[in-house]
Amino acid sequence: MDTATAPNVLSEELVKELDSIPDGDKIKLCIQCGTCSGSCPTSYAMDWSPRRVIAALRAGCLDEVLRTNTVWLCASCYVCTARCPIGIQFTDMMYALKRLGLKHGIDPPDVRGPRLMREFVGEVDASGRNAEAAMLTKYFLKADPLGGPANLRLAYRMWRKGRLKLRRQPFRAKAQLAAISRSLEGES
Amino acid sequence: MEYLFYPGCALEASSAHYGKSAKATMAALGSELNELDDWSCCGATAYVGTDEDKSVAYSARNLALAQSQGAKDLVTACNGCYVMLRKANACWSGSVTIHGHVSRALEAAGLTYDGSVRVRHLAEVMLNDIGVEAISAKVKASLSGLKVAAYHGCQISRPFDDVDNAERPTMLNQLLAATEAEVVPFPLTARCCGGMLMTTRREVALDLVYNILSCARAKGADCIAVACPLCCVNLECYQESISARYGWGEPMPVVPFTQLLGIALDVPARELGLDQCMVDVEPMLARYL
Repeated sequence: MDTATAPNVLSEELVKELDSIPDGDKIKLCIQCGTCSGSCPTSYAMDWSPRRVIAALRAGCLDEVLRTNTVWLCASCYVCTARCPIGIQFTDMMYALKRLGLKHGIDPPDVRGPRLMREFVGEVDASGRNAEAAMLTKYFLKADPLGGPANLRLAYRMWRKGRLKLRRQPFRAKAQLAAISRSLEGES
Repeated sequence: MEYLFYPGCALEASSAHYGKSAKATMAALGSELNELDDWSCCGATAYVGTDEDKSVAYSARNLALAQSQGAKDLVTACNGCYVMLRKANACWSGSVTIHGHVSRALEAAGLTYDGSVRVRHLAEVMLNDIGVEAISAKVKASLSGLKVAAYHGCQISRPFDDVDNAERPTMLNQLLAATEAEVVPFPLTARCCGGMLMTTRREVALDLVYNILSCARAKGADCIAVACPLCCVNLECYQESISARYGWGEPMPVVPFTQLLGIALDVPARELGLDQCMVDVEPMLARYL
């Protein structure tokens, strides 16, 4: 996909996405105190900290934000959301940013989150649930083939303990999920 | 008392022992968890990060099914499912803009939902509906002497902090105290386990898990009790890698809190899936039982 989408187009999209988040417009009130960055358990590994991401978004640099690894290092622990003195729901904003990145095909280097998302969604759309073994097999074959032996060893140990199911669990309401999906696609 | 139960995908597979022990322990407490028939994915982290409308609608499908069965509550034992189902519910609270599409999508699939089903975490159900006193009264095998670090994880009290404290949740501490085990102080009880980063960015998740495990050990814990299947897998299954990376010594048992309660209630080990733990719990139990 075209990764050179004009930043202003993306910014307009972001405004729409933020509208769907309760209090999404609160980033305008951010006081740049850094409580989010200091609280975030993974900010040490992020290209840009959460505080910096908010500053960049306010400066209209959405495109640059999406090219960092930051949103893909958010594990959704909601500690930033719980602690923000302004009440910015930053975790939900990270989800909105993930959706925008995926939609515009922006995969930052060394980030595997988008791949996992695609396999997960594919599995749920096809079988109603996340069949962990099938989803992870597809993911690891594509995203981390060299990690194969170690992952296989763990998978085998879990299988022996009855904690890895090779067969998908039966799910009858596929037509119902498809109807939900069609209805939503018709609206978008 | 009977409850409608939403197991979620992980309780079918990677934390099958959690699902098993949740049902068996509730039965020992005189309550029944009846699985919601033909439930679908809650829309977990990966789905809501891709398509919010669909994620919420799939999730709400489960709430609509629960409502059609006349259920007031839908109980889950997974922190992730708990948040996603509650978020779907929040669509009916009036402040969320996607409510219209989601509602129409459910109708297109022949479902209706009015927002009336209450989503609850199993730990909260045990604490508030059954209560510590009633659990204590049924304890047959005291776990006195056993030191437990109660790990709540993130999403049991964040972002929804109406049932427990967002920073220092204590539901598990209260429940486990009923077994007479010693619940050690555990400052990292609500610190993130890394969630799906264990799959997409392993070295970061290993750092987080190592911190949590070492904190538990520094506090003298014999084991860690968890309330979420993903926390369980992250804390339990990667200890070999953590050992290789940081020189973490003997592996530490990590158990769903329902297993410890079940042991104290004298539920047979088989019904609790104790043999499904990746780190053998027998040596630890032999010391105290």
